[in-house]
Amino acid sequence: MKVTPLVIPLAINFLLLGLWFFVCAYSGFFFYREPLLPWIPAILIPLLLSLILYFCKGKQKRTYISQREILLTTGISWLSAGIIGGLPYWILLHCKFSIGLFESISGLTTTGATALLNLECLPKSLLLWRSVSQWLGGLGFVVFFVTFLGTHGNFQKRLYLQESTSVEESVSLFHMRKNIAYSFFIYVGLTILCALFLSQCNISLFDALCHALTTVSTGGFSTHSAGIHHFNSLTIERLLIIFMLLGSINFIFLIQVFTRQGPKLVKNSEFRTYIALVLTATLVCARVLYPKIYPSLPEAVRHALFQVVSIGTTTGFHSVNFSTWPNITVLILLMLMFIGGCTGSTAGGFKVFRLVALCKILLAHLEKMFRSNIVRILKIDGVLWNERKQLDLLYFFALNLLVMLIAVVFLQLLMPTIDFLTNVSAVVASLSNIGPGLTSLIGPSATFVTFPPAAKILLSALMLLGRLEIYAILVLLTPKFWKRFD
Amino acid sequence: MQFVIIGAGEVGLCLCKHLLQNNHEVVIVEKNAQLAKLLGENVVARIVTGDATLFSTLQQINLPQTDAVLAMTQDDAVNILACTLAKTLGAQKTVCRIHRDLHQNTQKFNYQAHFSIDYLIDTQHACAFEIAKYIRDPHRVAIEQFSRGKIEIQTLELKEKSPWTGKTILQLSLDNTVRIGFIKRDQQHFIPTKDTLLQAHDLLTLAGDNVHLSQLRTQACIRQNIFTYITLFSASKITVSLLQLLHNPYYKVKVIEEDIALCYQLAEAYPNISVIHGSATQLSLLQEEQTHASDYFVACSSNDEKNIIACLQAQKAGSKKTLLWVNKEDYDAVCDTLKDTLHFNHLILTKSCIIKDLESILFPQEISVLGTLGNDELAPELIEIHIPSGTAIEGLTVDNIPWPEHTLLLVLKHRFHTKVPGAKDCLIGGDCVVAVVQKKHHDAIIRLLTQKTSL
Repeated sequence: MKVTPLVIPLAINFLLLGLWFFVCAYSGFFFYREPLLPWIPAILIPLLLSLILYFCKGKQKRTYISQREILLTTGISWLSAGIIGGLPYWILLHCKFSIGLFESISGLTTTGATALLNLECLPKSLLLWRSVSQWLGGLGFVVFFVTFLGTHGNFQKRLYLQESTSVEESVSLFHMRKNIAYSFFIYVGLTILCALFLSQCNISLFDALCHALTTVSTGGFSTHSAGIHHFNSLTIERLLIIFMLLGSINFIFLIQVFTRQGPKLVKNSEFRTYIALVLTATLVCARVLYPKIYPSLPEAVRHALFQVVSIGTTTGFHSVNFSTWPNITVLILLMLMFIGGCTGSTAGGFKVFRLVALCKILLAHLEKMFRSNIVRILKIDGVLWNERKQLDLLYFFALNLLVMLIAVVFLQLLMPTIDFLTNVSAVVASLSNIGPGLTSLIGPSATFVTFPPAAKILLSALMLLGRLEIYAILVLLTPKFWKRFD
Repeated sequence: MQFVIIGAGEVGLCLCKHLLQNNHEVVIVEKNAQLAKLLGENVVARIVTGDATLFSTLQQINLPQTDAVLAMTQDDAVNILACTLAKTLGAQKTVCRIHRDLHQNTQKFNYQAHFSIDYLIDTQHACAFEIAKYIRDPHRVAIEQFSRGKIEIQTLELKEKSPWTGKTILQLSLDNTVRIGFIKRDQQHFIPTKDTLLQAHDLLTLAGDNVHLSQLRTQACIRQNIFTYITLFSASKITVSLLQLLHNPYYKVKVIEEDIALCYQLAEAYPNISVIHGSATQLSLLQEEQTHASDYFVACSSNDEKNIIACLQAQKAGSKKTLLWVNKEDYDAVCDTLKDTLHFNHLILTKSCIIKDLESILFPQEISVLGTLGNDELAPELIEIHIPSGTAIEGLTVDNIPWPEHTLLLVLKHRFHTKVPGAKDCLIGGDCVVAVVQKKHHDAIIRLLTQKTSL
């Protein structure tokens, strides 16, 4: 295995991060008269690294890049971006390594969990970087820029397939680039629209922009410690619900629907299931909350819908402190956390499409129990799922559960006093890239600041695992991956 | 009459024997020299040895004097090329045998027009058609066969709450591509007019393309809960053709197949059916698969012995009706006897299916009655009429022709194109129509469409 293919994506990543640091720093300086000087090292380090890597790239003669190299590139790119992304926190806030890393990875993986207190007191430039990091993470910037700037066709395609969950392997490089370009335009368009609408809701342009960046990316970072509750506005909540949902639907599918090239919205099984899940969860939660927690039904529906959408889309915004809600609602939210949003979107989690496929596989298997001779072909939205694909999904599901189980055990070892629900919800929230947990310790009104550094690093690793669908990071830990000949 | 048969395979030979029995002159073109030699010794027909796709081979036959060239090889490409070449060399009529894949493609691409072939026939489809006719309403299948699958016939029963109930046909504003052929009310069939008031429990028979008919079904809010359960043995080519003919949500089909690879192929191509891996000759499997609930059990594998055993087992398992398909010509007589002895409900012989299909092409009747729905004078009759050249109605549009009362044109076939005719469609010589008329107007419509005097 050679590391040459790694160089260009890493150089692009570092360059991009350096430039964004500059944009954030300059915005803070220009609009809020914040000092530029503390940002200088944060800007220079990635730029210098990018320059060094560019000159070290050598002559790239090989056109074939192996699966190992792709996995290595994906894993290292995200890991290095997570570390470099933490520079502003370490330099500007002089915080611990674990806090900076946690915040940076939470941003880039669109998780939205925070270990920072009193957000209102932080420099605006840093708050902007927090939001921008989520927006970049939602874009899947590694893929985006490598696809457009890279040279190796098969490399770009494999990288794209590595990060996408709904793409067929037969996709051509041309279509892949077209899909990414369309997704990018939708992403930017939705962000601009969201910011424009939010700015009309009596909030500052800065708040509108930051929340638009973190809403469409389904990240969930807020510029206020109280989150969306700070605004206490029904209009803002409604707007956010719409944009969170849009951000969590497959972008390519949205294009096909709007250009009438693909099936109708209701014909897509993933979309149908997703909406059904959100509505059912909202109704159940509202019924539980009314009149026990909220005396009026509209209020119960309002908060239930916002929280269900926020958790279901893996955004993690909070309009109320849902950690005080009855246990059944907390369990529903935990389930939604695990499922996550649609494939091909910015949302994390197990993905609704996989859930649909898993249910169909299990149903077919159940039928086999009493009808052993039946031959069934699994097709979802016209796409054939052969046995290998079905097995892959089952392995992925099992691996997800295994990683969760191991993480729960490790977290319990690191924090022996932590209760079970806090432990599980912290692990699920990190692995599904949600953000806040479901109990008062890590819930909407709290942060992960009380967690020991090792626990923060563990949760950061889970965030990366979740963002890269487990495999890309996990394979790096297997000894055989590094062997030259085995 | 003189016929040229290309390919002396099972189909070609069966056809040859039949034509010779009926005192026709036959020339066989066979590529395989050994087989050709063998045929020369056993068959009273002229044998031409050579590749029918080559000009030099066909040149040996006086094609302009031939009534029809029948390309019956296993290879679709050879058949198409031979027919095109024969047509160019002066053959009056060309009949090309095609197989399932190409047959499916004829819906999307007009091979007939492109390659100047007069008729395309799918022998497997012809056999499947005979089975489907038994399972489905024979009149419906007859029209669908006439239109070669381009027009579908569906029956809808109006419910009391249907938005169509209490409306006249005119008020329904039906699309031009759809017709209500006839209505069954109180056990009586009649042909509706634009002023016919639809009532609850009316059974409408509609003709049109599948898409429009599905839309109509939705418009009329009609949901039919009567299903027909069919079990098919083996995933043979006939089964696949049969599945296409039974492509309707009201037919619940189950296929039992021994080959697992074929099972997967079929399950992929037809996700709405149940495919069972196993042999239908095993009683336990049939019982496990609830064959007692089957309205029809059709044994249509390529192995006749297995078909017979499977039918017997299906009877034992409780299937309501059993249909046996026989491949080998040799078994025809035996199976005919067995049918009554073993109480099989229907016997489908490959030979007779193929010959029936080809005879309708080679010796077309100007007028044929596809079916009659009742005994009285007012009962609707489905009639197929070939319009000869030089008739009085030639060149007139449908709305300008003085049709007898209660006449409805269901299908119009113009050269290679089949459609539900509209008011502005023109009828010309060589066209073929299927109309629904009252029995008493039978002669009137034939006169109208075939007489060469002025109107």
